[in-house]
Amino acid sequence: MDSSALNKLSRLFWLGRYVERTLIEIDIMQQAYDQSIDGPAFDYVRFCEELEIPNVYESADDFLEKFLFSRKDPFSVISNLNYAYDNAIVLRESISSAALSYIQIAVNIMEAAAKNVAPMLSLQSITDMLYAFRSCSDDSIPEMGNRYTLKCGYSIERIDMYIRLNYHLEHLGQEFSRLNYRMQCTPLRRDGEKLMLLLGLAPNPDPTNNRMILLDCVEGLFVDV
Amino acid sequence: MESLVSHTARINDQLARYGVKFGIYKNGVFNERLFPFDAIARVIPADEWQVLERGLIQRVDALNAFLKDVYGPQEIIHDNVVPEDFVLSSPGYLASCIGLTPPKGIYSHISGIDLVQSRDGDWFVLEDNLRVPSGASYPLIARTLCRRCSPDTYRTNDIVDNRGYGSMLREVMDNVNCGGINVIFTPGRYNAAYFEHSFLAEQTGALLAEAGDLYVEDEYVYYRGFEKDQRVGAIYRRISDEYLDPTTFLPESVIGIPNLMSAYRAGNVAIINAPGNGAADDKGIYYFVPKMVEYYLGEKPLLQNAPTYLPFYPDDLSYVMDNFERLVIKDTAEAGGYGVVFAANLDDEAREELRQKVLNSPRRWIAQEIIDFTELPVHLAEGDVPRKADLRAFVLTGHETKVWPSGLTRYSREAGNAIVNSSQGGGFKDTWILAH
Repeated sequence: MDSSALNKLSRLFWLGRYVERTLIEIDIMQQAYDQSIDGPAFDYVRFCEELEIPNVYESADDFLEKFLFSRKDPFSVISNLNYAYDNAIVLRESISSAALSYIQIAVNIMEAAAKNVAPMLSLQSITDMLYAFRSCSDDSIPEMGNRYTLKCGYSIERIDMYIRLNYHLEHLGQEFSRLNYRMQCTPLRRDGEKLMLLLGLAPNPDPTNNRMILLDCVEGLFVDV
Repeated sequence: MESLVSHTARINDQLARYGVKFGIYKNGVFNERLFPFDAIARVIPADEWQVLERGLIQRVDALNAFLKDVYGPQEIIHDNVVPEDFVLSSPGYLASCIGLTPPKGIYSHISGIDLVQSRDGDWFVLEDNLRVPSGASYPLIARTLCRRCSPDTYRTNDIVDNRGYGSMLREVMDNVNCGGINVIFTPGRYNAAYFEHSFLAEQTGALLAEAGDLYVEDEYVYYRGFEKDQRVGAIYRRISDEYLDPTTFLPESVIGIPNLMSAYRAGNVAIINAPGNGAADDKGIYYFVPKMVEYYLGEKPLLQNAPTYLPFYPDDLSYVMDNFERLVIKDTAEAGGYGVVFAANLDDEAREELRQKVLNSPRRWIAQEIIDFTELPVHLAEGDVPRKADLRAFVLTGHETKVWPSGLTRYSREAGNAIVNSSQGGGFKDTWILAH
C-alpha cells in the first residue's frame, strides 16, 4: 500500500492498543485468580480507581467473572478483545488474512471460555494467539508506516497501563525507548510540546508523582488518533 | 473424496478461523453467521463444463450487448424483440445512464449466473445477477483449506485449480482502469458480504475503501491518503446503484461518493459493474435473454431458461391463471430468495390473494414451471442426505469473457426445500471442474 487513509492508520493504532490492553489485563486477571485461591481477595476497588473505570462489581468474585467475560461491561476484557477485532476486521487487506485469523481465533476462544468451568486455561491460549498475531502482523504488513503505527499502539497502551496500575514499572524506561524509535517510523503527527515533556521525563518518570502529566502526554502524544 | 469429507468439521473450524461469515439483519439487528460448508463437492465433468462454459460466455456477451443497446440506440426495442415497456419500466433502468458508454463498452464485468440441473442432467439458468453478484470468495477460500486437509484428494483427482480468481478479477479491473489505483468500495463492516469485500481486496491487491475514503474533484476520483491522495482508475463497487452517488441517486445516501457519476460520465473512472445493469437482470427481462442471444450474436442459445411465463402477455396470463397451482410465482421486485412462492404450498385464501396481485399488476410477476432439480449429497453426522442445490457461476469480462472454473454451489439445509440462499439458512459446497 502506498498511502494509508487516516482512518486506516487510526484503526491500526487502536488495534495495537486494544491487543496490548487485552494482553495486560489477562496477565493481571491470571494473577488475581491465583491470588484468590489462598491469598487476600483481589483489590478490585483500587484496580477500578487506578484504571478510572466505574466499579460496577458486587464482590471480588463478581469482578473476576464480569471483568473477564461480561459483554455488557464496556471495560471488560472480552469487550476490549472485541474492540481489537472490530478494528482488525476492517484491515484485512492491510494486515493479511493470516494475521487477522489469530484475532478471530482469540475471539472464538474467549467466547468459548466464558462458558468453560476452567477459563484460566483458555486465557493462556488467547495470550498465545495475540502474541502470534503480533508476530504474524510484523511479518505480513509490508508498509513500514502501517507496521509502526500498530506498534506505537502497543507502546502507548503499555506505558499507559504501567503508569495507571503501577505495573511493571521496571520496564517503563525500556518501553519509552521503544516508543521513541517507533514514533519516528509512523506517519502519525506528534504534539511537539507533549513529546518534549515526555522525553524530558522518560529518564526518571516517577509515575507516582507525575501520573497526571505522564498520562496526559501519553494519551495526547499523537494528534491524529 | 472420503478422506476430504472426514475432515468436514475441521474445515469448518478453519473457515471460522478465517472469519468466513455473512451478515444478516433480523428485526433491525445485525448478526454475523458462519456459512456452513459441506465438503462433498459438486463435480462437473470436463465435457459438461465445456458446454456450460460456452453457454455462459454466450449469455453474458449477449447481456452486455443488450445493456449497450438499451442505454444507446435501443434497436432491440425498435425491432420489437423486447417490448419498450419492459425495459423502460424496469426499476433497474436508470435514466441517468442513457447515452453513457462505460470504459471499453463493458457493463457487466462480473456476472453471477444462477443455474440448476434437472434430474435428467439438463442445466437451466434461473437468474442472471449483473449488479453486485457475491459469493466467489467462499469456494475460493474453502478450496485452499480443503487442499491442506486432504492433499491426496487433489493429487488423485484431476481438478482444475480455482485459486486464480483474484488474478482474474485484477485483470478485469486493470482492463478498464482509467488511470490510477484499483479500489474495492464497500458500504462497510455491517454489509452482509463484508467478508468477501475485504478478502477480495487482499486477493487482488486493491485498496478497500469506504465512503469517507474517496472523493471527487474536477471530475476525477481520489483516494484520501494520509500523506498524499491517489487518483482512482477503477472502482469495484459492492454497493447498490441507488446508494452510489447522492447527487445523482438517493440524496439521503451517506455511504456513497458525491459526484461519482460526473467522474464516470467524463470517462475518468471505471465503475465495476456499471450502474444501470439492473435493466438486464430484472426477473422479467430474464424471459428475453435467449432472444437477445439470437438477436445480438446470431446464434442459438446454448443455455436454456427455466420455462417461464410473463403475465404481461395476455396468452401467458391466461396460462398462468389456468395452471396457477403448479407454478412458482416470483416477484420481480424481490431478491435473495424472497418473493419466491410455490403456489401449491399456499392455502386457498393466500393463493387467491396472490392470484389477484398477479392480475392487478402483471408486469411485476413472472411464473415458472417447477424444475425438479437435482439433489446433491450433504454430509451430516448421521450420514449423507440429499439436498436441493444450485450453482452460481462467475463470468468475468475483461479483454475477453471468461468463466471462472469453479462456482458457488449452495444447498438447502432442509429436506425438500428448494430455497438455497445463505440468507435463508443454506450452506455451500466447492464446485470441482474436472480437467479431463
